[in-house]
Amino acid sequence: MSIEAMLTDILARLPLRTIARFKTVCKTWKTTIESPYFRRLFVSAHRNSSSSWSLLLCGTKEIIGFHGCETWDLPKSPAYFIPPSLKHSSFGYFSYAASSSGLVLINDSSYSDESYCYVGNPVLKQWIRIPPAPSSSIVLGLVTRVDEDGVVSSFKVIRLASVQSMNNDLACIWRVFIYSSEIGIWSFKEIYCPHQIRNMYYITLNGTAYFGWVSVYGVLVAHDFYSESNEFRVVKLPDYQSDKKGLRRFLTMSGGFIMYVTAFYQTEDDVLKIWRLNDDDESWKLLWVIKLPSISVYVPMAMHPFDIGTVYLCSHHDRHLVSCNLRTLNYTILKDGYQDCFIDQSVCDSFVNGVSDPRSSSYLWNGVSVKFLPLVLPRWMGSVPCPPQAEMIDTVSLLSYMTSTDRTMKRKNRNDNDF
Amino acid sequence: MSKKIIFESSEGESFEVDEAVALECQTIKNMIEDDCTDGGIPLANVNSATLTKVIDYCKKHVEAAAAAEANAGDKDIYGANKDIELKTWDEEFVKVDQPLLFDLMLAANFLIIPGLLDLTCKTMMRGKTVLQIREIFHIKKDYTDAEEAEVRKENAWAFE
Repeated sequence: MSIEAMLTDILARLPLRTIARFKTVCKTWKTTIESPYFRRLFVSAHRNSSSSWSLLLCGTKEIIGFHGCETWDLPKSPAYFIPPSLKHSSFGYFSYAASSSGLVLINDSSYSDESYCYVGNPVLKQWIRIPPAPSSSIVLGLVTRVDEDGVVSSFKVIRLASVQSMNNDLACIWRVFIYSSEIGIWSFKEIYCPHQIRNMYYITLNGTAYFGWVSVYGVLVAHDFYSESNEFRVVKLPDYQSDKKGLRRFLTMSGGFIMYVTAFYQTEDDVLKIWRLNDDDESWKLLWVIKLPSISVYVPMAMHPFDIGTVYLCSHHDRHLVSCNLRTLNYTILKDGYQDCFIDQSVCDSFVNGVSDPRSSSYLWNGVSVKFLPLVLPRWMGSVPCPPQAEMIDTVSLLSYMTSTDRTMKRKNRNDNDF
Repeated sequence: MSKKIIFESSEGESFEVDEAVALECQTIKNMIEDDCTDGGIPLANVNSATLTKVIDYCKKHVEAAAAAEANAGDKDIYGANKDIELKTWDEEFVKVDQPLLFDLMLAANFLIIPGLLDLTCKTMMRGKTVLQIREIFHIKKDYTDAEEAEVRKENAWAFE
């Protein structure tokens, strides 16, 4: 093996942060590192290592974060890199709206009809400015497609223009604008849903968005925004029993699959069940049925984005965040700053305060919650897909644009009030 | 008694090891399977000092694997088996001077010992500045200062 080939092999074993720095060693190294061959070598050498991730409450507030992964070797978890002013929606006109495959969507609500929004990678500090949609609409979300190496190949921004009820409020039609990074323009689409969608929270995987809170119990609705279809697909939930007291149901993501978790709280047999949505997108595979002695004390929240054997729970009593190893039933209390782990206790508190005590008789929850969404970094430092004619800016430019817009809007509002 | 394999270093010195230890090297494993290890295995490009270290490494990892099998199944919060003791041992193991580290890396590459290759590569490169890397690998900078600044700017996130 030549020394050059060996060097390539060595480089592919290093984390991305180191590799990116070594592009400045010489031209040959830069060319090597940027080649598709090297990218594949890297992805295969890091097959078994996890990537940094954050778990966000309602998709915006970071509750758990892990960094220090072998893939990126970042000093902080991914949510840290989203500028703080964007994470608190009460501040200014710009807010963090959604994420998919490590890309995040920033919503600008300063001029409701002609607002830009931004899609970017907060770690790489690359942002794309997305032009306003053709007419009034609100930001709904972001979906992405990744290629076989886990590199984001394209994204779509979705804005909701209107929802029209049909069939005596049983069904509805969503009118949406979709911006595709491949063509760089907005298109319009009407999507029929046989049920009403009660809540805009969704979980997204591979271009499809899954909504858990629907007017009919026992189903999810899903739509693949990359498809030509004009309908929401209905996905039946497994083992659905309504009116069951002390039950929590939620959707989460783990190991590249959509997961459905139910937790019964009963005095005798607290049971946690976890299903995986199969590739056919309609059948479920039961992965875990576990009797936990402590479910009535601990509220299940989400799963580890990479390990299907780890569930995160939150204690009702002392507000501890706990990881549970489903294989061994070992519990570990998570501590902020320990083992590359970040914990925001205040987010944990606000979540637990919003969940009523499962043992109380009034506790009845038929919807499927989609509260905790993971922000997971991709497996390679690929640039944000740049649509034709779009401009890529860095985080500094984004922030300075935000500041100037905020100032303009404040002045405008003041002038409006003067008249 | 387990079967023994004999290695011969570039200086002609012989090293006798258990077959299980030699099997840690993919290259040797293939040779054993092909039954061509009789009379010792000459390693013309591995010197005695390096070979001693390589054998130490393989021995330790064979022992650790046997111990791990005895109490298998306990995964940590990352969902990965992490043997803290072995990790600490590895860290100590690579606290050697740069030329030996380089030789170890070449040997790990030649003998195909993925764990050792990984360990030596990371130790060798991690935390190194671009200048240090150029020095280690005798690379001449072919960027102009302006070009280098440009590449650095494109990858600013990695320098923070």
